[in-house]
Amino acid sequence: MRRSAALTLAMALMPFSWLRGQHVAPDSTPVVALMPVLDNQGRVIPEDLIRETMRPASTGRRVFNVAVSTLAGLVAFTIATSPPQDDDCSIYAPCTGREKFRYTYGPITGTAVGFLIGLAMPAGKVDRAEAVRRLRQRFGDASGHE
Amino acid sequence: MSEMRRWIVWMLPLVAACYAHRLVERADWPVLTGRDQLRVRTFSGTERTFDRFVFTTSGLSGWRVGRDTLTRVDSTFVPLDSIAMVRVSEFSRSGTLVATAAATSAAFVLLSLTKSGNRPVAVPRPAGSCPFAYSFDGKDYILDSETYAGAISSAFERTDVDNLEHIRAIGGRYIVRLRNERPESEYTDELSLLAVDHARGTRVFPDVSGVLHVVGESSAAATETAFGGDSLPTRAGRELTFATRPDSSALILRVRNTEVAPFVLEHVLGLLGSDVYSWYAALRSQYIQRAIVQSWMDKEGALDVRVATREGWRTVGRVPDVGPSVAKTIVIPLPRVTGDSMHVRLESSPGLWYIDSVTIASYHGKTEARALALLGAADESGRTVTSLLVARDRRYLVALRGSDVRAEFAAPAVAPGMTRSVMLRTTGHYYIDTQDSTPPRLDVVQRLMSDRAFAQRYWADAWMRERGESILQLR
Repeated sequence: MRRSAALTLAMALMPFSWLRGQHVAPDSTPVVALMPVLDNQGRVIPEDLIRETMRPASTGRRVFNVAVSTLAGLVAFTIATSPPQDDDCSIYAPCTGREKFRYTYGPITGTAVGFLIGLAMPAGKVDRAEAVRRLRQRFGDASGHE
Repeated sequence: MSEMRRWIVWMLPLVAACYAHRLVERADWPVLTGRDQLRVRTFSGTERTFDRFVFTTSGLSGWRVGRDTLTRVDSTFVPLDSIAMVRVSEFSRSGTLVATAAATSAAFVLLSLTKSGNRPVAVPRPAGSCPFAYSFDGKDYILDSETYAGAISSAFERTDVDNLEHIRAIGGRYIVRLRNERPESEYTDELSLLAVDHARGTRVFPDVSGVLHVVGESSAAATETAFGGDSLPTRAGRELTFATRPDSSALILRVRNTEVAPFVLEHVLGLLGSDVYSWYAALRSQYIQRAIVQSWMDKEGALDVRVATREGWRTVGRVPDVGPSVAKTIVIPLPRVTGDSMHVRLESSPGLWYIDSVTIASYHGKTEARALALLGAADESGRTVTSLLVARDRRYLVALRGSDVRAEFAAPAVAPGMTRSVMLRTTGHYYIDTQDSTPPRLDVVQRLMSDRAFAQRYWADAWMRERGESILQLR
């Protein structure tokens, strides 16, 4: 079934979902739980604690990173591609097509490159893996003190 | 096909940077989010790949996600104790962005390499020191006027009117660029365009004071001889003989300065050294000082136009400095002369003027021009400067080297059966950047302005040192 068709069908049936019966798991079904995350001592790290430790990226820091990096990219490429003092690409000091291209598009490219690098810079996000790493380190340090 | 293959080769490192592949230790299996692609190898050697997965206490449950369905396909359960190795392929946002930045930089370098590396032949940089006006002809900007040449301080500010020979109306507008390409500060009070619609077969040119005149068909000189310039001191020029016309006549000169003219001005300012600013101030405030310098510039720098009369040679016009970059056309109405022929002399200090052409034309009198509306003017940074240029009000556009002002004027339709001449009118002055830390040589400046013989020898020597050629060779 195509995705669009499946979506259409799901949306069409949505108003009637209350008509469905409540599923009851049979008693014979074996209990299956998610594999727990363990710390370095083999103790379970609760999922709630992991979720509490996780943190989204800071918008302010991301904006700062992007602004600074964009500016740095613009300045760096402008300096690297700017013409010599007396070279103004006029008929008196003509430039090659290559030089004209570099002088014209260097700053624009620098801005784009700086913007992308700014977006790539860490903005304080703590994902699941990082959260677990920190908790393991914290629990490891704590047990060491106990 | 080979192009496609080349792109694939280029794109591979980029795609590779987007995903990080790593081996996951057993303790970290439950840390995985289940959203990355997982590859599992069992002890029996079977290898499986899952798009979605979950690790439970009893085993790994994984499945592939079809490309165009929401359904889980190929769902598989792998017992934990049978898993030998888990590898995860994670999408790296940072890696992707950095790779894109690297690809952007590489594309910039590669694209630049596709551009021509051949440098066009340079046009010799003009030695003139005054604003350059470029006319837009619908395709290119053409250097069409070197305006208010020789107005080297506010004391010598003047209004110049120049024919713009290359300008064309594009979309109901005339476009002019005023550029400063020299190491100097230019003060432009007014920039306007004048238009005269006149009968076909006639032409309109300004005289030395900017008044416009209409002239008809013209004819060349019957004879032309050079005089003077064989030794110093001297006055040099050309003597021309024209057939006398039955009606009123006017001389049409097409002239420009040699590079000696701006060289002399710059050299004098250089000799003033650290006193140059007080010299400028004196020119503004002291009438006599100003008159001395003005008189020197007129007597030694201007091109005198003289006509032979019964009483002797009579000066009918004096053309001031017009700069060396663009020839300027100037009309000089002539007095009625008896006889069949008219003798005209163009005379100046040697080596200062190039005379491109001299013709005599029928003279149709003065004419009025209408000023075209300035629609807008902006400098190279986009700053609007219209209000500074629209009228002569002592509010100046100050232009340093590199300044590039683009001005647009309304271009009304030409009257039926007529043709149009467009003139640029500017008012302003400029200051040349000079060595203002050297000791002043006022004694030399004073003698240069008062002793013609000394001055001509001085300039001849200086020019020989500067360019290695004799001033007397410049004609």
